[in-house]
Amino acid sequence: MLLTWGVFAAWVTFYCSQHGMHAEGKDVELVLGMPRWVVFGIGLPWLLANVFIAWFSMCFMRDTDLGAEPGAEAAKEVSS
Amino acid sequence: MSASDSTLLSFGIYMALVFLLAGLANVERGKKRFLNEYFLGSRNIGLWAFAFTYAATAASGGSFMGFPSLIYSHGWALAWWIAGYMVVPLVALGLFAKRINQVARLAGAITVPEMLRRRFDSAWVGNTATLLVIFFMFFYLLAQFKAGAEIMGTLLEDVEVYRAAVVQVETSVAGIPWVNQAEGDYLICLVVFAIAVILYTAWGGFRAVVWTDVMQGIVMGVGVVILLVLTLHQVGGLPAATRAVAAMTTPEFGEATLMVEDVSDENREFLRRIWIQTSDGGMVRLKSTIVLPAGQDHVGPAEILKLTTPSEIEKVRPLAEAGVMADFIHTEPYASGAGEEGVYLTAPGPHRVSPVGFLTVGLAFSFFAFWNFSGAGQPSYMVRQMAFRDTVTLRRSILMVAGYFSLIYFPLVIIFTCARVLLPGMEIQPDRIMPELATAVSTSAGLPWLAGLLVAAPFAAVMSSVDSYLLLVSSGVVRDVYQQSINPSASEKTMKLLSYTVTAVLGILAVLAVLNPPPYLQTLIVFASGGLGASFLMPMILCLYWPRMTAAATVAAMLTGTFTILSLYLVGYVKTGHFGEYNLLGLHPFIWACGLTFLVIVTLSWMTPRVKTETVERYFGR
Repeated sequence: MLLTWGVFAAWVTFYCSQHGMHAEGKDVELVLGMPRWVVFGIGLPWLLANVFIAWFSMCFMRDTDLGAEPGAEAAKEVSS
Repeated sequence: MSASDSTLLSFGIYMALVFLLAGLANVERGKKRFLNEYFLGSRNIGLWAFAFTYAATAASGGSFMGFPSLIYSHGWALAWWIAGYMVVPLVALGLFAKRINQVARLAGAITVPEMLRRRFDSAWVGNTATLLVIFFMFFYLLAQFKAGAEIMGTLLEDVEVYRAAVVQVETSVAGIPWVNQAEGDYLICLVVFAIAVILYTAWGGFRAVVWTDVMQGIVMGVGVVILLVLTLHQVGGLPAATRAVAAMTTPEFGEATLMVEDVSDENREFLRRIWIQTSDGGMVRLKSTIVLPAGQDHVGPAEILKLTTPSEIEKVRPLAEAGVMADFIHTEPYASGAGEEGVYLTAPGPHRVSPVGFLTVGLAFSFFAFWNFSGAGQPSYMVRQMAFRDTVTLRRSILMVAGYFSLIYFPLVIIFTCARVLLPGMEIQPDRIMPELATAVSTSAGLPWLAGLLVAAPFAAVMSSVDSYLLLVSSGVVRDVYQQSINPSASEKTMKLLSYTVTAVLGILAVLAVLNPPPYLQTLIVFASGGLGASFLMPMILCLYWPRMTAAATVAAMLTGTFTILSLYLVGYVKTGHFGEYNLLGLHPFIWACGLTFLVIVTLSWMTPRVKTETVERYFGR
C-alpha cells in the first residue's frame, strides 16, 4: 500500500511540477477540454489507481477472521 | 408555486426523510445494549452502510463548501491539491482497518481512546486521547456549523417570511454582546441547522448517523452528477469554459465611495453583493452592506471587489444597481498572478496575499500525503473501521469508496472552474459558491425545484459530518471520561441521559463559538484534520503492529503531534496575521508532526518500561 502511494505520488508530483507549474496558462494545450497537464498528471493516474484498487481489493486482499464480539468487559453495560 | 417555494419544498422532503431514518434507528435500537448500539451500531455495519458512512463522513462541508470555494478562487491547481484522493480508499482503509477492527473486538472498545486505553492498560493514554479528540473535533464542528448555516442562507434568501424574520432577529439581538456580531440571516440559519442536526443525532445515535450517511451519500453523488451536466451545458461545454477561464485575470479587493444621483430624505441601504458601476465604466461588487444616511449624496469607504476581466465586466453590467456610482476607488492587486491571463489554468494558481501563489510543489506533495495519512489518522474514520461486520465488507467497501471519491472530487474541480464563467465576483463570499451555483443553474434550466436537491447535496455532506463528529465527541465525554474515570457503575438510564445532554451542550457551544467565523472554512478543516492526524496516526499504526510500544511513548507522541501542529500554526499567525499554517521548508505541519511522533515513539518505547506481558499477549498472541 505504501509502495502504491509512493508510485502515484511520484507520478503526480513529477508530471505536474514539470508541465503544470508556471506554464504559459493562456496558451496551455487542452485535452478533452482540460489543461493537458491535468489530464496526464492527474486524470490518467486517477483512472489507473481505480483499476489497481479494484484488483487489490477483489483479487489480492485476503479475508481474515476478525474474532468474536466484545467480551466480558464490554458486557459490563447493563442489558435492559 | 414560486421558485423559492418549490426549492424549499424539495429541501423539506429531504429533511423529513432524515428524521424518518433517525426515528427508525431509534426503534431499531430498542433493547440492545445502549452504549454499544448508540456509539457503534453494535459492530454490525454492512457493505453499503459502511462504504457510504465512510465516504460521506470524509466528504464533509469542506468537500462541498470549502473545496469549491478554493477551486473558484485559485483554478485548476486544485486538481493537483486534491489528487491524493485517488489512493485514499486504499491507504486509509487498507492500512489498518482490518487490524483496528480486530483489536477493538479483543479490547471490547467502542471508542478510539478506549481502545488505546485498553491496549496499553493505561488511563493516561485514554484520557490524553479523549482530550485531544474533543479539542480538535470542536474546530471541525465549528467549520461544519458555519457551512450548514451558509447553505441554508442561500436556500432561504428569497423567502418572504425568512426575510421578515431576519429584520426581526437583527433588531432583537442588537443589544446582546457576542451574539450581535452575527448578521441576522446567518444567525437564524445557524440556530435552525444546529437544532435539526442535534435532534436527529441525539435521537438516532450511530445507526441513524450511518443510515442518514447512506442517503446523504447518494444525494451527494446524484447532486454532483446533475450539477456537472447542467453546468457544462450552460457554459457551452468544457473546452469553451476553459478558454473563457484562460482569458480571466484576478479581481482586486479595496474600498470605494458610493455616490447617488438623487438625495433621499430616508436612509438607503446598499446590500452586500450588489453590483455597482464605476465612473470609468468598470464594475465593482459590495463586500458588506452599507447604509447611506438620509440627506447625503455619498457614503464610504465601502468594501468592494473590482473586476478586471472585460468579459466578466460586460456579463454583470446589466445587474448594476440604478442611481448609484462607485468613485475614489482604491484597490490592491493580488500578490501573485495579478494581470496574468491564464493564471487560473496552471499551478501555483493566483493568491491574494502569498507572493508564491496558492500551491507550491512542496505543498502539493504535502497534501498528497496529507489526504491519505491524515485521513487514516482521523478518529471519526477509525471508529467506523471498528464497526464493519467482516473483511468481505471491508474489501468491497474499499472499491466502492474509490469509485465514489472519483465521482465526487474530480467532477467538482470541473464544475467550479466553470462556475467562474457563470458567476463572476464570488470572491466576496467564496464559501457560498456551491449553493449559489446550484440555485443559478437549476433556475436557468427552468427547474427551480431541482435547486432543493442540489443544495441538499452540500447540506447532506455537512450534516453527515456534523452528526459523526457530535457522536464522536459525546462518546469521548460519556464513555471515556464519565464511565471510565468518574462513575464506572453508572446505570443505563444515566448514560442515556448523559449522552443526549452532552450532544446538545456540544451543539450549543459550537453555535456560540461560530457566531463570528473565519472567512475560509477549509482553513479550520485542514487545521482540525491535520491536528487529529498528527496526534493519532503514528500512535495508532504502531500500537496495532508493534508490541514493544509503551504507554509513556504513546502519550508523549500524541502531545508531540499536537504541539507541532499548534506551534506551526502559531508561527503562521505571527507571520501573516491570519489563522493559517506555516509550511516549514514548503511542507505542511502534518508532515513534520508525523516524522517527530514516529521518532518520539521509537525512542521512548526503548527507554520506558514495557507494557505488561499478559496485555501484549492478548493483542499480539504469544
